[in-house]
Amino acid sequence: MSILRPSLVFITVLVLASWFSVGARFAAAGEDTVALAISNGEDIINSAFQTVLEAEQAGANVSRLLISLNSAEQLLVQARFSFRIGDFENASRLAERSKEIGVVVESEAAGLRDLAEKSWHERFFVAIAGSMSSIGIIASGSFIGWRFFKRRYYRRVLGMKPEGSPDEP
Amino acid sequence: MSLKGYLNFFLAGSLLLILIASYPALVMLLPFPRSMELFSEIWILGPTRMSEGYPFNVSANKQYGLFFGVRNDLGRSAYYAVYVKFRNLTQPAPDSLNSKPSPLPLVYEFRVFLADGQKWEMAFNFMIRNVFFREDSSLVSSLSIDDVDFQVDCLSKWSSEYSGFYYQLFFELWLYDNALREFHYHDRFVGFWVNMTG
Repeated sequence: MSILRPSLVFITVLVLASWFSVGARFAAAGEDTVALAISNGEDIINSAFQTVLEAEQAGANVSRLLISLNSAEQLLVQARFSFRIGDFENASRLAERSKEIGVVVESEAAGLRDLAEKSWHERFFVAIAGSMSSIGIIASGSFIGWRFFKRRYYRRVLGMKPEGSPDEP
Repeated sequence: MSLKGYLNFFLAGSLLLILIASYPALVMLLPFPRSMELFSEIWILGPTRMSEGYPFNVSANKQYGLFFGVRNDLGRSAYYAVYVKFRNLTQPAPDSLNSKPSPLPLVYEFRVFLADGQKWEMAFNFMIRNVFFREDSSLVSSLSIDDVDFQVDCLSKWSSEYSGFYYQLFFELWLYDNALREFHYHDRFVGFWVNMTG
């Protein structure tokens, strides 16, 4: 009886200690996972912004995408706050939602960028073709005009009579 | 006019017409410089959204409301981070001469995406939470921004020159660098001084 009681206490302490140890390990793992999710969210938003800038540079209207990026950023702010106060579940959920928005924005921005680049190439082709044909018309028009003018000029000069010429009455 | 004179006149006219005809293609190929200056703005406004009524003599556990704004005039969309920092009279402020931010740790952070010409303004409130006074010094251990508490542990000695325990809440503007893929200090900050009264 005297040996049984300390043994029971010892076993209980061991079981409780192992529970706490496992719980702490799970909590640490959860914390790391959420921190990684937030960091991933930041990377995705940065990458999405990069693509948005490319789309803007190509001439696309990106104002709607910037609004979405701000929403994603707001979710990340809330995720960071939840992480700070130890609400890892909520932080993870918010970071995931932020990542989802970031991915959609990046994909839309890439689509807009490609569309804007295609449209730019088309406009460039039209502009080049228009300019080249206009230059051709101007150059040939000038050449023909000059020849015509030159002929008229010579005809006029040759048709002139010097003052005091012998056939004068 | 001689024939050569007419030829020059013809050539000049033709060249002018060619330049006009090539303008649409040139516009798409050559980057024409913008005539306007490229910059970013930040500001803090008082509780009435005017540049007046900034809190000065502040006491602990009392909430003060202000407005903070950023405007993008960089000619492209920009991603800004605003780092909120807290310091006493002797701690380093951002170095405007060398374009260096304050080395103090940030207390709070805002981030915002702005299109060219767009401005963003938000109301925020702050409250000094825990203050301890002892003889000639005061210690602000925490402050809250938008109802979120932050540990600051900032000690201020009594300033005999200005008669008070002075602290500054200041906002540094950082800009996301697309090439480096990180934020860098954008050489702009605003702040306001408060005198801790009790």
